[in-house]
Amino acid sequence: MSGTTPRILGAEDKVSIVNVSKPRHAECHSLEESRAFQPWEVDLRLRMNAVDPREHSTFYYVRARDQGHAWTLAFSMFHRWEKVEKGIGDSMYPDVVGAVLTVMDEQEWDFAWKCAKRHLHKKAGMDANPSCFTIMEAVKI
Amino acid sequence: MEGVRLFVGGLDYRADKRDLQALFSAAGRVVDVYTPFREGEGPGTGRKPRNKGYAFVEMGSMSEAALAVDLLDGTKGPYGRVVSVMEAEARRTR
Repeated sequence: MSGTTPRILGAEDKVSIVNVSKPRHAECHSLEESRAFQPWEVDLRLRMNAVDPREHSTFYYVRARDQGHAWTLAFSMFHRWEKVEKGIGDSMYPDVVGAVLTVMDEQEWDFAWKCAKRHLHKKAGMDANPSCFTIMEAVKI
Repeated sequence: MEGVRLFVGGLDYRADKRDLQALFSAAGRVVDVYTPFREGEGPGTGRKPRNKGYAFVEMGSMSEAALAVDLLDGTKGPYGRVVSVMEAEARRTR
């Protein structure tokens, strides 16, 4: 991974990006395989309730065409897996208050997926090569 | 390469192509959206178009279609109605 200075997308986005390298498949629009998308690690920063000001991290691994897509996908899947499927879809907490996006390479992605499979995890997309996955425990790969 | 066709059910009758395009683009490349209108409504009839409560969305690839199903099936779609998303069956020949 190439290290660059963290870049802030915009205050309203509450998303910061670190280690941004140029996506290798930026020009690829005919996506036969999900591997045509760049892998990202999305560190969603959560606030668990109104009283505790601390931010908790939960990591989502997504394949997305750009950082905006990665953020949208991670946020949508978080909402689905952590709120809707637990029957708290309409509650405010846990609330996503920000995110840090890091570009991954294919080896890191494969390693992350291998680790995730050993834990309680959720995935979206194809079984062999998912487009999004996360570990449902507090584990940092 | 041909896309993968998805069936979208439980659609609010006000939802149109653009709503579905926006919704499904989160999962990847949307190749085509088909929303059948009720009879006597829609473009050229002078009446406000209402769909039939379902639509077909074609995604760019199998992986994008699989993601769209996992991402959107059973969630709130356009105008807050819960939509069902599944792979469309091939059209039967008579």
